[in-house]
Amino acid sequence: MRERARGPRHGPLQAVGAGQTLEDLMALVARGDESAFERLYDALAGPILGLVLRVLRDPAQSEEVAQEVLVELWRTATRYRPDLGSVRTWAMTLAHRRAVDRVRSAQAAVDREDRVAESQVERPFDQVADEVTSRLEREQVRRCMGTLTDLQRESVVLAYYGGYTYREVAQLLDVPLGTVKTRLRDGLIRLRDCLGVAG
Amino acid sequence: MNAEIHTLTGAYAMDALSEDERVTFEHHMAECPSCTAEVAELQDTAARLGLAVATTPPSSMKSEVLAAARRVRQLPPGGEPGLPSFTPTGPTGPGPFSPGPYGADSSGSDGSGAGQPGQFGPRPSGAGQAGSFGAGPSGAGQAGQTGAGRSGPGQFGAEPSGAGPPGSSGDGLSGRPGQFGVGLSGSTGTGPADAGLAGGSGMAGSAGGRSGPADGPFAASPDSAGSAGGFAGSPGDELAARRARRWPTWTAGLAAAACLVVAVVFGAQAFSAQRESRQAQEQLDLMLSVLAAPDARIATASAGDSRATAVVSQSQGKVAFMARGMPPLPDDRSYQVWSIGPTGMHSIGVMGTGADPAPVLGSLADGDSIGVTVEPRGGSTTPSTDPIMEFDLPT
Repeated sequence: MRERARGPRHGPLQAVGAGQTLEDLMALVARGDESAFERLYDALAGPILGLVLRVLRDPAQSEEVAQEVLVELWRTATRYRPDLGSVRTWAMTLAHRRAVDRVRSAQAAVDREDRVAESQVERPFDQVADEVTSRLEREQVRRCMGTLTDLQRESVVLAYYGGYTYREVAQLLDVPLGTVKTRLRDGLIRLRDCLGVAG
Repeated sequence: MNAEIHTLTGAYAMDALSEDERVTFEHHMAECPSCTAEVAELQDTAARLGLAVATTPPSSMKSEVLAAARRVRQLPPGGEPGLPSFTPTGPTGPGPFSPGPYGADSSGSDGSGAGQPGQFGPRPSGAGQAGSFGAGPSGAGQAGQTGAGRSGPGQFGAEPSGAGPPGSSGDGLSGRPGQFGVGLSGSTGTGPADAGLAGGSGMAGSAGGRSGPADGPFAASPDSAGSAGGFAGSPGDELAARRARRWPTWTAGLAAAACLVVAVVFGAQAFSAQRESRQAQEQLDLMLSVLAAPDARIATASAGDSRATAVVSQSQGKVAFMARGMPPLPDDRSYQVWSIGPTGMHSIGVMGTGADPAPVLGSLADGDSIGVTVEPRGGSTTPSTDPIMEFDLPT
């Protein structure tokens, strides 16, 4: 495992066997290496689809978005800069953004409002935990989620897994906007510190 | 820098800013190295949250992605401004994934001419799914809701009067959803085998009866609505089984929707045969507008060979209701459909004669349920008999 230039840690998915990191693979992908892309797929498709599915909920749409994200990784591999972030973060950031883009499209808006009325606010993290395949990652995240205050945790879960804007989160939790802004940041910082130590 | 805007690092890292705020914040980041560094760390952290919900992709996805990648030319290295999605703009640029997601994506497509959606262009079929129904996103929601409101399934069986052979008419319909199911799950990008599976379970959900076992999938939590039969892999595989369990409602919901679409179209044709076509066309248009409503929800019920499907749009205050395989009535009787709410029962419409009457379309208030009574032919202003069937709707 190679240490990234910036960022506190590597997670369990960073290693791709034979000492190859995702960053190594990405360099090969950038040169058009299809077998490297296949290995990249193997490492990232599950996390990408899982995240998109978490946000979008609609399996068909989620698979479509996940496919777009993966092909986008192929298309833009040449532009990837290891000094600016890990491949994993790059991929997950792209996946989350695409999922959120989709969710915020007009068509999805109504559906999302419906979800507010459902139960996501109540036991968000338990739901999240259902779909985990990476046991270690899940355990770390769960443990670290447990170190947040309720409001931090709820805010983070709604914003990240729910795909809500912080305004929507404020509305859902019935707290002032400024409070949500700071809770999102404080919550993530606490998670960062917790995961960093654990990872 | 502005302390207030600095607190947006968390929201930015989780894509929780509005478009305007995102643009503003990225401008801010361009001149705030500490913000940029913090965002990078928080994005790293957020990514960990994403990894924690990894799932197992359907096996078909891999070949599709690899095939799609083969058709997509990679960007040249370096990168002109505004081209690639997540290319850093330089050492002082706003963060590792600098041009934010939304702006960057759109500028990417503008600039390269091979934009995000386009580059995936000959998309296997997934795109068709949402489009063809015009209710892709709401599909999952519908399904989740479908079960929630279901109750009183068996009442349908209470035959009002006529005996007769109820089943015959249903067959034409029951053949349909299966076909639709195939088309549907095919469009999620899965293979034919999966398609069959989805079609089958859709049938089970929509037509197979509202009995105990069928309630299982329907009663699934909203959370479980986020999955599809299309994802179900090889039968027998434990993971596949788990996925299938987790995701049945969507399939059932879409199959039910397919069922109703077919029913509406066929119903309208029958309608059209009987009456003038303009009226039929209006009826069809109204039906389709309910079906296509973003908040359309579906409920189904069945007993024996009788099947009923309702699509409700709260935003339109409308319900499209249709039944198949209803027990025949004497010539001087009709089935009448009612909304049942706090203010009593109000007529939604009178069902046509025959076992396959045209769909009934009418108004329905939020929270109302639907009942069907046997009335003198042509209908009554108030129900003259007790409902032979009541139908709770998802709210």
